[in-house]
Amino acid sequence: MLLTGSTHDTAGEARSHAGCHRGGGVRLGIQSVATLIQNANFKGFFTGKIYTGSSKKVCVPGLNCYSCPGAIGACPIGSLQNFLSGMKFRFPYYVLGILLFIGALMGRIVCGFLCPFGFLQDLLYLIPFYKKNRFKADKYLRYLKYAVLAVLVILLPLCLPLTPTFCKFVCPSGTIAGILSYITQPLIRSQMGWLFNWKFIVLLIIIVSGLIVYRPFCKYLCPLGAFYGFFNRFALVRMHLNENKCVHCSACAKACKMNIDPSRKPNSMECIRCGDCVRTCPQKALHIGLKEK
Amino acid sequence: MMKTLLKKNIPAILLLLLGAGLIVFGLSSGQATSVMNKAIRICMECIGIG
Repeated sequence: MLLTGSTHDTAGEARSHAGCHRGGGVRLGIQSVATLIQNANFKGFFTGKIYTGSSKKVCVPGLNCYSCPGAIGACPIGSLQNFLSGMKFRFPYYVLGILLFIGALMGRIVCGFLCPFGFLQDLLYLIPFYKKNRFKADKYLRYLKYAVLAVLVILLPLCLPLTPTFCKFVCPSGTIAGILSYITQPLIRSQMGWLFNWKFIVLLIIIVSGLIVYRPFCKYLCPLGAFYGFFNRFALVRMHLNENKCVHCSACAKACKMNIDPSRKPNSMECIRCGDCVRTCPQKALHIGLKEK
Repeated sequence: MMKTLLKKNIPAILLLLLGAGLIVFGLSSGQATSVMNKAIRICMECIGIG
């Protein structure tokens, strides 16, 4: 009896892992399409010239630098800082409205499905390498992104005119745009100095740690993820847990690469809605949608 | 059914309306053009020139 149960569990586990991989594949597909759409100015990658069409009036949902030669939309964090650090302060109604609307609609689904830099980190974590995704400092480092949002994105740009602090000193998406400009534009290459070197080192740290830890930038530094995280609890599309079905087996917590326990906190601010827990749950107690099942 | 759905999502709906209102107000005050003016020029700080 015990043996039968154990075999059944193993088969069930294998099935849920297979399901997890299938679902993960679908998500990677959506992420690649979203990244391509947000960077649809393919000509720019060869000429180094950035897109100047009217779609740049619209902020994209994820972190995608508007100085990237492929970008066809505006970066929400860059645009927000542009308003806050202007010579004459203007309240960013438009950018804040877009962020509020997206946040209230889907919260951090943006991180899991639409953000190009999140997609890059997902690909990095797929590379076979030493993995250490759970460690003690993790829960403390998570607070860093809220400090980045408050200090580098809001306070410092308000105090220092014309200085988008986050974009200038941290944003890895901008550094990638810089590398692309470095390759294609000799004039820009000749002007790069200590700031580019600093940003390059930051990007390198993020990339190397992304091979070991799942999405380190999203977990510890991303101000956009920190902002959307506030909406996870009451976004229109959110996680629903059926308490009657849940047997607290912890399968979801073990499957979660963001180190959350969805059976306790299905709408944690850290959840990027990748759906691994939903696919892993043997009782089908979790689901992401408009309403409870 | 629809009523329950609306009832359970009051905060989200209010925030969606607020977001939409801010977008419309921002558009009417020309902020989309400001966003575009920044986005169509290479951001020197972003790419690491300063």
